Amino acid sequence: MDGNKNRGLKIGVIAALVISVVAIGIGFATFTETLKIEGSATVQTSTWKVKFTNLSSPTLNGTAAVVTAPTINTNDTTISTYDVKLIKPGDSVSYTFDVVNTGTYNAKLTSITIPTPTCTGKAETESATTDAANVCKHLTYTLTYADGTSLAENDALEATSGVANMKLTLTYVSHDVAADLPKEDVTISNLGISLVYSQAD
Amino acid sequence: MQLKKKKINYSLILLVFVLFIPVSGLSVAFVTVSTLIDTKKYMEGNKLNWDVHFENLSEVYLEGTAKEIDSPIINEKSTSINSFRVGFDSIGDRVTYVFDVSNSGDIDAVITSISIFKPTCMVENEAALEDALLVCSNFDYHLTYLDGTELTVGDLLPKNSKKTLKLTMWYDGTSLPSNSVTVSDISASVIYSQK
Repeated sequence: MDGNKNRGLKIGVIAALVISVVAIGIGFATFTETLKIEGSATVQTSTWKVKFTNLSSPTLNGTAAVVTAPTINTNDTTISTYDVKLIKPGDSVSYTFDVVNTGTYNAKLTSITIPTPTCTGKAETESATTDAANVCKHLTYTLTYADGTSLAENDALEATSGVANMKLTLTYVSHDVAADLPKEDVTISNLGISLVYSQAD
Repeated sequence: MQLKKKKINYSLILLVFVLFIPVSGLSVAFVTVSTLIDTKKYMEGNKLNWDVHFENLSEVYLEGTAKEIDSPIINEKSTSINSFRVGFDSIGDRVTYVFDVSNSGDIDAVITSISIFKPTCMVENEAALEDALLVCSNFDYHLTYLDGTELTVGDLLPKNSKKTLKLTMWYDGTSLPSNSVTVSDISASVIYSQK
């Protein structure tokens, strides 16, 4: 009987010790918080892309008319096949367009070629040569920035977002010299302008 | 004359000793539990709580031709900012996010651990491994306080206060890769613990 009592007491002691150890353990718990940041990025390939875009409708002065509207080719590097008609002195045709740099390299204008237009009188007419000369004498053909400033070599066009607004104008300058008026139609050709952009340093 | 052997009653001593230990043990247990209860009552009465979390995540700040592809998401508990995706198109591009770490609880907190993981660069084919190496050499990111000072273990975040941090990522170097490279494991973790 005494043995059973002792055993019971021992169990009680062990239980009490366990409770106290657990209680002390709970009392010493620490608060923590883990804050995390996580994401990813993509680094794109390098590209070279300078192109025409935003070709406008023509601005016509006087009795000027468009026979064939210009188009930008699939590479966006050529504006071509336009045909316009200038009838009286003072007539003009203008187009505006943008040159944009959507590549990852900075670009600069390294070459500008604006040829002198060629005038050709109507074939097999006596006045062909004279007509051609007289028309070309009063013809101006200009390419400028849209605000009228001149293009110049080393003009910068920054990567990805660089835009240069340009204006192309063909004018039959107003004059009052009747003798200079052509007797027959004159074809104006050699109007191709070339702009070369290269990678900037 | 006969000598009587006096038999010491060992069982009586043992019984007293055994009784003494459980009583002492019970007393200790009782004190401990009592303390715990008292403590618990104190905590419940004063409603102490632990609350350290992110808040005020800014819109992305972009420099150069950098872009945000996917905006970051803060989880429900505001303990994680994740899933953001950004793009770098040019050398010098930079992206920054600004956010607060707020201790809105009743217990001062302290930074006990900072982990900044090294990013991993991946390409779609083995031929582009050089691009991966190039990008990983020139891409980096940094987690600092808003004024640019470093986070350090032991930095204090007192109760009812907040600190503003920024995560900045950038691509430097002299060239871009020939193939697109994905940079993953842009990952940082900061553990705040009770002070």
